[in-house]
Amino acid sequence: MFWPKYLSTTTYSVISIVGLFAFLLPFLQPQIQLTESGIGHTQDAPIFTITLVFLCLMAMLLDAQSNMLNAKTVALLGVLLSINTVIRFVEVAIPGPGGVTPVFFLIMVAGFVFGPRFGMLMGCLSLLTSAFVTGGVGPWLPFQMFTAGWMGLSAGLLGRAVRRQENKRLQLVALVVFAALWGFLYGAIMNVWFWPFADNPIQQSWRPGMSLGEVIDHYLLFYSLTSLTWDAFGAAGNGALMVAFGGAAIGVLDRAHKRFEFAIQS
Amino acid sequence: MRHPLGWVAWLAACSASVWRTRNPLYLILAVLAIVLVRNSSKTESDNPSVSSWRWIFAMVPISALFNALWTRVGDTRLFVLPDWLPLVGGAITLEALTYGAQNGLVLLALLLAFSVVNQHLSIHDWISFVPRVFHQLAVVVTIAVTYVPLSIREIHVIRDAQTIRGHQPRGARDWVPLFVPLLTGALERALTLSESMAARGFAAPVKPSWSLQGSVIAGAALICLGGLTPMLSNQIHGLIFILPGIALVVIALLFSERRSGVVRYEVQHLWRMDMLALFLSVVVVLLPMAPWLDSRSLVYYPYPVLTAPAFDPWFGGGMMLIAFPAFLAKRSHI
Amino acid sequence: MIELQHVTFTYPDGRAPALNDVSLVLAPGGMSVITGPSGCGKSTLLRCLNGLVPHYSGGHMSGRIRVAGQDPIAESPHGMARHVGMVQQDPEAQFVMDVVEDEIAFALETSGLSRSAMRMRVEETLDLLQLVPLRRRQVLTLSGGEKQKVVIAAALALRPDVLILDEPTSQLDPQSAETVLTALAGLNNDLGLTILLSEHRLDRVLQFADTLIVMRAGAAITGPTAQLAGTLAHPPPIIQIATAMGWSPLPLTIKRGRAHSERTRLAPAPAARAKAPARPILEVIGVTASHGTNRVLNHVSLIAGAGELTALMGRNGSGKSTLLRSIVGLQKVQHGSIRMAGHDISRMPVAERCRHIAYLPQDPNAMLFAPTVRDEVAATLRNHQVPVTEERGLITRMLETLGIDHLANAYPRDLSTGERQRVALAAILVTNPIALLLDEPTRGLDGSAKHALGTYLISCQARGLAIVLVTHDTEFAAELADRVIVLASGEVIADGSPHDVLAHSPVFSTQVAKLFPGSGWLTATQVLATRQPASQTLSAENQTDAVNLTHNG
Repeated sequence: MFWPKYLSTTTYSVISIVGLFAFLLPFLQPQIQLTESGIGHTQDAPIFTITLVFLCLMAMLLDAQSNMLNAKTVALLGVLLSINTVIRFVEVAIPGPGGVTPVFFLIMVAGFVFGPRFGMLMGCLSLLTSAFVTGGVGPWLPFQMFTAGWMGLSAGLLGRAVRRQENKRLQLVALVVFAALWGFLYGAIMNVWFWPFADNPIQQSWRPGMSLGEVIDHYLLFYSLTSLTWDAFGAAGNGALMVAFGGAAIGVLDRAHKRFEFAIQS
Repeated sequence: MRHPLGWVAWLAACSASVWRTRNPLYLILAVLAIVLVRNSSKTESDNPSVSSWRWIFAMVPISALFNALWTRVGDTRLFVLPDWLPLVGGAITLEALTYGAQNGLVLLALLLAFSVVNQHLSIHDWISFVPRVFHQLAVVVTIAVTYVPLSIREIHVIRDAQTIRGHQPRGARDWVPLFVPLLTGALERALTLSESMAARGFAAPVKPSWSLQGSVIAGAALICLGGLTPMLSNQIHGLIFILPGIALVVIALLFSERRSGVVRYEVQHLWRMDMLALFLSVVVVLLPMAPWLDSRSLVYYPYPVLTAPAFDPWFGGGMMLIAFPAFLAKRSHI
Repeated sequence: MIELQHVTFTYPDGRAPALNDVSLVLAPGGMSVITGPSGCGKSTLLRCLNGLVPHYSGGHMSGRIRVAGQDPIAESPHGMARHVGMVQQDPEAQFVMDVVEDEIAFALETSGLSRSAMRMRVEETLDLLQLVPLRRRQVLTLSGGEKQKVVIAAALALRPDVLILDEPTSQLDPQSAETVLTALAGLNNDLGLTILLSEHRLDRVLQFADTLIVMRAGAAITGPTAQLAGTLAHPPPIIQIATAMGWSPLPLTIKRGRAHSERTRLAPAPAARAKAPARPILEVIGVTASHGTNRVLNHVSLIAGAGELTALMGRNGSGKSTLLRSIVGLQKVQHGSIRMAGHDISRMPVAERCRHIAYLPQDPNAMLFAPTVRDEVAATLRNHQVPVTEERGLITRMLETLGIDHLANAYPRDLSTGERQRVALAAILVTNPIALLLDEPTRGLDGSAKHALGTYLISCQARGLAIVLVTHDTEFAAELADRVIVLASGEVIADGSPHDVLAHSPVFSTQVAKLFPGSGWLTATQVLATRQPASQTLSAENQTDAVNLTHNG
């Protein structure tokens, strides 16, 4: 059938656009307000973003479910998630320095070895399961799932691009850089999405007549002053974890991939 | 109140009421009501985040401080920070402090409500809300949760096994002997588990749910359009896209739910108290919309000069009604 | 019910076929046992029956298979689920849900049954395996035997015609194994369920089997149990005695065996010769230890001398493993002291202790992380800061002593259970310790691996190592131990020579001791070594009739 065949491509393109829109919404909000007169409507923004992110998540999960899940991938994902949940559990009890979270390590490695869809599921469901287990279900959960899903997905794309390389060391270097970048990216994305719940600094610092560019400038300054140091820790931690464990973990997952390869086709 | 639906309805009612107002008096009432619910059922919980919920209260001062440092609006100047400080330089006003505290209260009430629900709902309760279309994903999460205790035990076993070989973790790389057996063991278990599941007839979804997927995509696109519309015209026009978008998703979901071919074994019974909880939740949401009420006291804005917030006993009472689970929980077996 | 015609199967990267021209026919309602050394193709044969091979493994298959009238290759595992239920070795790796009842219902949720039919099924299945009292229990809190029963129940939820089990008791202690086998025998007798299980610990299972399938290197011989049991490579003691003494038909139970053994006169066993007391290596003096408020060891004392092998026995949770763990320092000791070669080591750190006292934990897999066997052993040396110059020679010698030098570059996790254990042994023994502690080393080993382990332990004794062995395997203990200590609720309740402890206890006695009660003999080797020609009471006249064996290979 024509329609299902192109469904995956459509899904991911639409999600990218919608996701980008939801991401930029806090920046667009002042512009929207400019055309309004009331005050109360800014409060709808978080609900609106949550709904959008929720739908994007649903579409991504449906796509992955119908394209790659079978007894093998379900079992594989399940046990990998349980390890990640345990790691998260330890992390909640003993928080690491700065934003270092070992949870992202396995998401990225799994995506890198098993492909974008697997990485996406690994990312989304890692955050979901650990929220269930640690009692951390909250309004931020859809955002975390979506962002971590993108992390796994992009790790899978990186894997596709780099894994043809015979040089194992080069592969690892690429993954280390990628992991460090995501340390910053995750912080930045979560900031933008979470702030509307607290007290949107973008709206607060917005003054009539400010252009979109100025708003973004302002945000960047704000980000670099508040969150950057925190995220720098996270990025360094991600990179360091990848240096220390990346090679070994890729080796182990590669062996598993060989034994599971009759099932995984993503 | 036993059914997870009761708690989710309560959570929705809490969020709706809290979200609707910025009046600090109502918000404080809401927080009090939620704390009452929380304290009415002391459950033993070993969840680290559940047991350390007190940090949530720090939301109010943090938010107040942030806003005060950030905003230059308001007439009551407390003191002035030197201008050469980037971003925060300028006058600190009482109004900005108040506005920040208001937002902090909203956040506090929300987080508290979520923490109460987290305390009451088990993982299986959460999973029971997952639509049957997502059966496979629900199974993935169930497996993950089932194997958590086993993985924890495994970590102890591996740590001991490495210790007796003289292993002492010093640097990051020294954790490899602990991490690799854990991962390898898990993958071997996954192979056994997948065979066990296949032997019990677990398979890929019979029909790929492409119609649902398409509807969700279309719905998301419509809602997105609806969000963009106010940039061009009126906010109300956005609803022309948003409402059909939501309807499309809901209808598609209901439709595919019937075709999923999954029958749940465990179905919780709705007790009389649960029905009452659902009813009360609806009342909490609808009460402030009553036509004879004057909704002006819901809005409170400290700028430009701080004023005393108005108080309407109807809305105050509505907020107090949030505490209803505290009274239902005690008689949970009816 | 099960029919294989000239089935040959090769794994994708396998050089030799895993199944080599196997043909067999099994009647409905029977209970059959497949046996053979590790890697002989038992698991492959079982997995052929529900389509997991080749659907889940890949590989090349020829021949014809029919199970309950279905073709597993055409039907795929999904389609075969209604006809064949499967149970595997490790019960803990087969759970999807964490509560007993939900686990049983798991397969039914996607089966198309209505909810009321599903409830009925779950109730019936709980009854079949007597799991009703456990229905709301968390699976992980159950004992090993109960867990395996839940796995069986879950496999039966779809009401299959055939139940296949891949070494279902190899990870269990004897009591648990007994419960599982009794449950299986019940299902077979009462429901007429066709059961096919693979096993290499045959002493308990043979009595239930109608048909025996003996496999070696992919080839299978099928025949009635009583006829084929005599041809086994590592038969249980009762079969060894019976074959050597020419009892016919072969007795599969002690009860049957007694009918023959009563007519056999055996010379009484010589009184245990008192060994000269050896130089004490390990001394445990009045040790008390607790898990939380639960006291697991209560004033336990033990002395292990150079070249002595002490067997620690007792039921699960009696404190055997805890005792080993307190010796190496993994378990905190509250009272008492531990001395090594005369020095108190209670304050010595674990890593330092383990350099002198090697400890093989129950699951050697937990140790293995390196990409090759050689690296695995080298990791221990590096932990103990042994100079790199000595490393190569030490490792090579160690691997040679254990007979795994040809595997030096293999990936440890790809090896068989026995080989993995040897790698773990190499990794703990390479520091040249003076004592060796082993926690249930025979679990999951096949006959030849067990025999090889025994031989290796004897060579360690000869080198003067003090060995302490925790085991449930009475036959193994009787064969090797100089001394047997029985623990119960954290206290020593028996301590003496194997002869004193094992010959008279109904729980811990060996098959031979049960066969010849009061004679003092414990193992088949002892009996057969000292057997006088006069004790052969049975003549050749009632020899077995010629057996019609179907040999394909």
